[in-house]
Amino acid sequence: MATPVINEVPGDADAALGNDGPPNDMRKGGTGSTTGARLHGLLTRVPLWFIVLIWAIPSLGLFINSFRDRQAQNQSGWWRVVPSDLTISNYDTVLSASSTASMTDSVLNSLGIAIPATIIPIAVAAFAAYGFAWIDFKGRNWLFIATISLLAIPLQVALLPLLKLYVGGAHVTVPFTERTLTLIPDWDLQGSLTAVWLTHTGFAMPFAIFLLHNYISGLPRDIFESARIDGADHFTIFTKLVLPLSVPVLAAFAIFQFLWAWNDYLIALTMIGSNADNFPTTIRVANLSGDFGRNAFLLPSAAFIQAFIPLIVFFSLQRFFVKGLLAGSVKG
Amino acid sequence: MTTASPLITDDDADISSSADEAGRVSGGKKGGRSQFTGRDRTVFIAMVAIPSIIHIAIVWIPTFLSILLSFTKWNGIRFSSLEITGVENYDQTLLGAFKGDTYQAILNNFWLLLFLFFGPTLLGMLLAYLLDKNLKGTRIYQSLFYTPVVLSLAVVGFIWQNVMYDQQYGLATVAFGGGGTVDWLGNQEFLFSFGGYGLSKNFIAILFAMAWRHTGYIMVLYLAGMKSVDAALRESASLDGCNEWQTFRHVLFPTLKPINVIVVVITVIEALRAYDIIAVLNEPRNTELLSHLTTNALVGEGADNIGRGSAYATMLFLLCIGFVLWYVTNHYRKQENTV
Repeated sequence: MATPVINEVPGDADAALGNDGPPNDMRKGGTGSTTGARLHGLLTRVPLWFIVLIWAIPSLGLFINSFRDRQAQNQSGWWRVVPSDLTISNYDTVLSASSTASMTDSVLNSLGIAIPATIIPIAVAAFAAYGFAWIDFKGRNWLFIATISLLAIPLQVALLPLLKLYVGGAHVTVPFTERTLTLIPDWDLQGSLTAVWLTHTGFAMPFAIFLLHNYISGLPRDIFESARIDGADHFTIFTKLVLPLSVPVLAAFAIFQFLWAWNDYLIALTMIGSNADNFPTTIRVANLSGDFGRNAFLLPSAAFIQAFIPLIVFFSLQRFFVKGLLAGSVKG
Repeated sequence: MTTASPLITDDDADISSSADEAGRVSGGKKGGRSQFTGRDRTVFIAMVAIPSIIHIAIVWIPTFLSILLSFTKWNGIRFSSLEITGVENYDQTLLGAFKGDTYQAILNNFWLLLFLFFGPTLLGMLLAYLLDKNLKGTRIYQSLFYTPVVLSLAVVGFIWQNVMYDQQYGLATVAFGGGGTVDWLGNQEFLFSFGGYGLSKNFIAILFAMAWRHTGYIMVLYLAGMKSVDAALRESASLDGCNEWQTFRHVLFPTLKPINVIVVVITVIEALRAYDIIAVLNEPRNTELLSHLTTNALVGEGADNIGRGSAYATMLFLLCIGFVLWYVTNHYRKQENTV
């Protein structure tokens, strides 16, 4: 049984990003100047450079194409770009409110989906993870397995009943009578942002509980025992001890879930349907490829706008992401 | 390894040195419910009930209804038109008119899983290993690998369609097309096949696009794991005369075991939930996954039999639950043994 030390997490966060991590084995041979070491270093670097180059090409190509007008894109490959080609007219078009391809409103819609779809699962799952990890109750294991077993379930499995629920609520006709019971009223959720983030919330719950449980169950037992002896109730322990100690994993899940919800296409496609006012960014981008490709030249710029917020979120918070995702799973 | 040990369970109650204290802590069966204070009980019920209710209402009950619907024929509009048809939908999808689509889709799901495990996972591990050496420019390299991770798979699809696979001006076309045009995403020919099913060339093209994103993901995880390995450990390994492979195999790799767990979970989730990238590319023939068959049969154009879509949904459900149950029982049983 591992008796983990709190925050005995993969190295420290900065090291995980390789910025100022401890110098590893290569450093030693790198400054030494034997031919063997130099050859060895080269053998490492050349494949790496090659892979890096391949990895950079798709984004680079898209970035260049986002500044080329329709004619340029249709006449030559993106690597044939000349500075005089470059224009921001594509960005103008996709951002202007009047254009049918407007990304501006859809950014707000995506936020309206991704923010509740991130906050609600965290708030709810953190509580549950603590309950599953540290409170013994009847049926705990069964309930936990029932939750975790849906870890990989895709939306399609529940899609149609869920749609019917959003369209008309849930009603049951009592057999042999004319009475109909309304279990869930018709909240008219069809095509609303609520339908989307509610669905995200339900489907995110297993992974949220899985990840948070991994971490919270690894917190040292002593602190809970002494807190209980001091008379703290579960609510106090949760808010005063568990939450502060769980910040890394909460942050990691938040980033993971925000990216997931922001980048989702399927749930928005099926839940929002044809309600164009509520289209998130992914649907807007995808719709540009329709109409026999008439607007396909706008795709690169729209895709960059779509990716802008996740890029910022990820690169400003990546230290938490890595640290927290592995928290609780790496204990030397 | 993580431990999912509650403060006290029936099993370890008697081995616990301070059983009476622990009993108070847990409020569990041994100590009796009376150990909960009033507020405790309310908080506890809310704690576990709220997520369970959300989860049961949004996932479990609809899933259960899908399974029931798979034994019916229904146009999806009026309940009065619903007829119970038994296993007819399964007969059609597994043995009858739709079996070609079904088996190819299941096979594609299998290819995807296999590919993600062997391609991006190994490459991601290798990249993490190379970047772990703190070469010059590591930070820039990392950012390059991270960028696709952040992108929507729908956008990844468009990027590759636009930049790499454009029939005329895609980089792949120019590099490998011999001066002509190549329809990378439309080429439904099988690279190899058996009994009419196989691995189609356009599916391979899509797999590459997916690998572009997935590799960075895997790299992030392994890199963090490698950074956590004590530098002194490696030092002593190299002093003991381990070569690079031996150090990796016997010093680094064992410590990465827990990361494999997360990698497996994330990879399986990605493989079974994959939908977006193929959907935005208009689902070229022979690239459909089970998720596409399900979606199209349920809400696609001309979806006339909800029952058939529900049969697909049930198959998808069985695939997912099979893996996870296997994983959960293995993973958590092991933990209980270590308690």
